[in-house]
Amino acid sequence: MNPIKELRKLKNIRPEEIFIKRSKFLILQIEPQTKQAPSFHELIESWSSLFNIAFTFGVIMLLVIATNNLNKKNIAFAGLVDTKLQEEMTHLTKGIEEPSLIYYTESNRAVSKALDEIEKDKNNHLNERVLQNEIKELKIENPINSKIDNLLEDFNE
Amino acid sequence: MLEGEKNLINRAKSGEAKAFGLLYDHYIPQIYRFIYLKVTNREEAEDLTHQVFMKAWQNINNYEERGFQFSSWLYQISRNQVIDFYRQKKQYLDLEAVDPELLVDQSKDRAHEKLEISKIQKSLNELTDEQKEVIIMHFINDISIKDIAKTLKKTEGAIRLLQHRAIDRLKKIMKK
Repeated sequence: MNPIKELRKLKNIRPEEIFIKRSKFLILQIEPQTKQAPSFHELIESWSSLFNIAFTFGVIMLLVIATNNLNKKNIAFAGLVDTKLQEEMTHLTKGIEEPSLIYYTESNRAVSKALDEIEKDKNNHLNERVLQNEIKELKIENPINSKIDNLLEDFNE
Repeated sequence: MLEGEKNLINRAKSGEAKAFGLLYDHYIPQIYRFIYLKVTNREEAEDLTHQVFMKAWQNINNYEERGFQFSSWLYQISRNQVIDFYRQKKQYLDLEAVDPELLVDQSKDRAHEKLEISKIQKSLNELTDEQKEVIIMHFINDISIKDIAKTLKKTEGAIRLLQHRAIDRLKKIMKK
C-alpha cells in the first residue's frame, strides 16, 4: 500500500457549499480594520515628534544637572566667596581680644631678654650661685606675678 | 498561488470585500481540509474555518508579504485556532466515535470511499501533530516544502525529515 497515493484520496474532503456561502456572507459583512500600515511620511512625522520630545527632555535634564552642580560648587568653595570672607574676617577680629595681645607681647619680650642673657653669660647662667642670685632677684619664693595674673584673668573672661 | 494574488491582497487591504471574497473562494477548501483533518469533526471544522477567515479579513492590514505567502499566513492563523480550540476543549475526539459519514462530505453515496478515507484518517491520527501537519500540507494540500518551512518556522531540512519519518510510520501503520 502506497501511503502517498492513499493520502491523496483525502483531497476529496471539501466544505459544504451551504457553509461556504453562509460563512463568506457573514465574514464580508464585517468591516476590516481600516488602519493601514504607516506610510513613510507618517513614520517621519512620528519620528520627528519623538525627537522633539526627547530633545526637550534632554534640555530639561541638562538644566537640572547644571543647577545642581552650581549649588554644589557654592557649598564646596563657600570660603572663596567675598561676602563670606568678609563675614569671617569680622568674626576673626572680634575673637582676637586685647588682653591676649598684651600677654603675647610681654612673654615675647621676656623670652628674647632671657635669650640675650644666655648669649652674654655663655654657660655662666648654669652656675648655681648665679642662679641663686637670679632667684632672689625674681623673688621666686613668691612666684605670683600680679601683672601676669591680671592678664590671664582678663584673657579667661 | 492564486493569479493576481498580490493585487487582490492590496485591494482587500484597502477594504474591498469583493477582493477578499476571491481570496476566500480560493483558499477555503485547503484551509477547511487542514482544520478538518486535525479536529476530525465537520461542525467544529466549519466553525474554526469561519473564524480563521474572519480573523484574516479583520487583520488583513497586518499581513505583510516579504517572501511570506498569503497561504502560509492563513495556515498560521489556522494552527493557532486549532491550538486554542484544543486548549479550550482539553480533550481529543475519539476517531472511533466519529461518524464515518462526516469524514467525506462530498461522497456520501460512496460507502467504499468513505471507509477508505476513514482508514487513512485513522492512520494519520497516529502521527505526531507536526508530522500530521507536514503530511496534510504537502501531500493533501500541495504546499511546497519551502512554504511549509516558513509556516511552521522550521528549516526545509527539518520539514523533509519530518515528512520522511511520517511516511515511514504511515507505511508501517498501513501494513498492519
